[in-house]
Amino acid sequence: MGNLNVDSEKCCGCRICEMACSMVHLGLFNPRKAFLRIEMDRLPKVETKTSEIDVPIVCLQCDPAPCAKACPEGAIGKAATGAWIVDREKCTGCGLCVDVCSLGMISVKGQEEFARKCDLCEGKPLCVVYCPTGALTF
Amino acid sequence: MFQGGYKGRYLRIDLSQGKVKVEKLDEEIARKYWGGRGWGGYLLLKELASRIDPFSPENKVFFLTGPLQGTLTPYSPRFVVLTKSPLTGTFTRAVSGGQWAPELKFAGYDGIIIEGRSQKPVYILIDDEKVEIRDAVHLWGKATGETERLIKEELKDKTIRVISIGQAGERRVRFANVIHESRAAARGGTGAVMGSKNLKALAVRGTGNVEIADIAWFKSLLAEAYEAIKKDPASPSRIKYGTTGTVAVAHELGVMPVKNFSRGVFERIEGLMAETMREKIVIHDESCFACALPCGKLSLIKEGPYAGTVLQGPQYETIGLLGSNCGISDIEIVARANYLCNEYGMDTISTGNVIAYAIEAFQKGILTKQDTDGMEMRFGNTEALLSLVDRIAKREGLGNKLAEGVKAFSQELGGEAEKFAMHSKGQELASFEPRSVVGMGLLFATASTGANHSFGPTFREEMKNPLTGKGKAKILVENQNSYCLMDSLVYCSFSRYGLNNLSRMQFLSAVTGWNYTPEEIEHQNHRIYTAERLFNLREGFGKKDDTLPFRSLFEPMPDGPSKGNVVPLEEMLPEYYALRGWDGEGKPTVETLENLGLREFIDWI
Repeated sequence: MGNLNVDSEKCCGCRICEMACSMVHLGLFNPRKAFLRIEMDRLPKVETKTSEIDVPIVCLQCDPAPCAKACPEGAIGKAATGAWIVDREKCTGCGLCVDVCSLGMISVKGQEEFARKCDLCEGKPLCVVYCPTGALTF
Repeated sequence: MFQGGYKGRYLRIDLSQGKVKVEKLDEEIARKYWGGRGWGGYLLLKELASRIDPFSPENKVFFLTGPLQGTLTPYSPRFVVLTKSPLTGTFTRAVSGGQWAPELKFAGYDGIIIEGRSQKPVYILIDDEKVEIRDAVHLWGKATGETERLIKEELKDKTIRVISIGQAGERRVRFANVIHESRAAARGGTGAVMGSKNLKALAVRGTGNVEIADIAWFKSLLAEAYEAIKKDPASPSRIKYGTTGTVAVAHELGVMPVKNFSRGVFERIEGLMAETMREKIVIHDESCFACALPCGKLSLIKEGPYAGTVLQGPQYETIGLLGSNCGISDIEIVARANYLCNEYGMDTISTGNVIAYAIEAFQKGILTKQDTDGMEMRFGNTEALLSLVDRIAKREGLGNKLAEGVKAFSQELGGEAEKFAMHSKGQELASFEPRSVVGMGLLFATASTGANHSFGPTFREEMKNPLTGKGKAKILVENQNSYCLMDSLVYCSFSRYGLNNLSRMQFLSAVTGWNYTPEEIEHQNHRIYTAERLFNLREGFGKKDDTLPFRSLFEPMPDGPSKGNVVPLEEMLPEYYALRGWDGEGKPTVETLENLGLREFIDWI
């Protein structure tokens, strides 16, 4: 069990994590379909903290998890890795989970009829493996 | 059908008619020229009428990507802007990283061709399938950073990616550029051509996928590449200092340009060193899209009259031209001048050159206070530097003349004044004193764009014997060819840290499913370079233009490690032509054209 840890001081905003996420989960490249995102503010002011320039936003695997609580089908359950996983058989794609996640870390996109979120790659998150600066750890 | 990488289609936008068309990318052309620079060189030959005025509606601007953008291929988030240069009249290509190129691919396009001229200022919005030519009257006159911000606000989405021109492009400063998030597609005046078309910006949002042919192979290549990038001995220093690490080694070899390329030593170089910059202004290391080597140095001036100035950079070239070449030794002043150039949308290399030229002309008495709007011009004078940057962008007074480039201005002055105008084919020299590294001189003399360092630099290979012409033509042809590959696929020159031509090609194969032998790659590179040469020949350029400033050829270096040296161009040039398969006049032979599959352009030799 573990969690994705973020050190935004080290993040260089390369977005390799977003790309690796879409590569691993979808077999293609599309950063907008990744289960995490980098927010950038590259116009800092004198008083801006450097940890606020490039900031990774990741699923915190909250416990209790609002997304799981909101699910009327009980489709979101906790795996041994510590990740909350969507059961595609049970999920109807209603989107109630999407509404309650304040970070926007769960979504129902396009033609798909189920919700998608970070599953911690079965305990070996590829975003962490590929992160060049150590901003993401597990 | 494309199996991966390419989207297989591009946009053709006619600003005169206000029409947008989606066209299919011909797979045969893509296999022959790849993308980016190669594809653009072909389009310039194929689609532009001969000898047109670069500012006329007949000129076109091409914004092109290649097969790798929008994938995780290391060092590949780059786009290429091509047009007939208003600075030189030759082929030109400018490249930038950032976020824009992959965004265009996610929107579903490999490139954009801009034609004609709009009646009023416009910008283009590409939002997946929706493509609009939108009013930009409210953006005209705005700086590039402000333009990006306003477009993002107007469309209520800060993830929209924007490239734009500033006031310099609007006023057709002949070395105006295209700016994207504080990075520049810098040289040759592509921004001025955009300005001549009343085109302020191109904004892109893409939500689609980029697919690749062999994802399993791709993943294993990626793992190897990331390992190699980590292990490369140069990586830590490049991450810490970006390109500025080059300042120390270049100065030690007498390669930094000093006071309009007149000397080999800059006494106050300490103030411009990478360590000084890191300590004084760098606050954050930042990457382009999907790049594992964060060379971008986000900088902030923290105090003094320019406190609050934010930019990415300055980089090595800018430090050379706006710094030592203007006699400036304060990195904060260089950063401020760099920031102004970015906001006005103006190439720092050409800007540093024209200002240094004006200072030398003033010190020689060729220009007087009457010519300089009363300004006292001296090397090292901060006021002269910053105020001239303003005046060039606004085309005021002396600035209006300098905005035409150093070649045009020196010809207007005539005589002795032409001897220290530092350009080749009208493009100002980059940050390599050619007398101290003569292969770079051959590069400046022969590059299809006019003097350009990023067209196959030989500096690294030359370090052991920088002053002799022997063997330099061979190194240069090899490097120029490698850059054809890099600029066409489109890789960053930093891809040398961890990648080589073999691994660069393996990524291409995994992404597209296409295979090339090493011989075929060489052949492609030769074809791409020769097509550019054909364009220049067609426009009236030839051997007479493959030359260097009088100073580089005939004035021995007065001091420093290359004291007494000049560039032995006459010795290197014939060897260079022979290696390229060109005749003694620098024209490709019929046999060369047939070999390279360029027969369709035979009329131009």
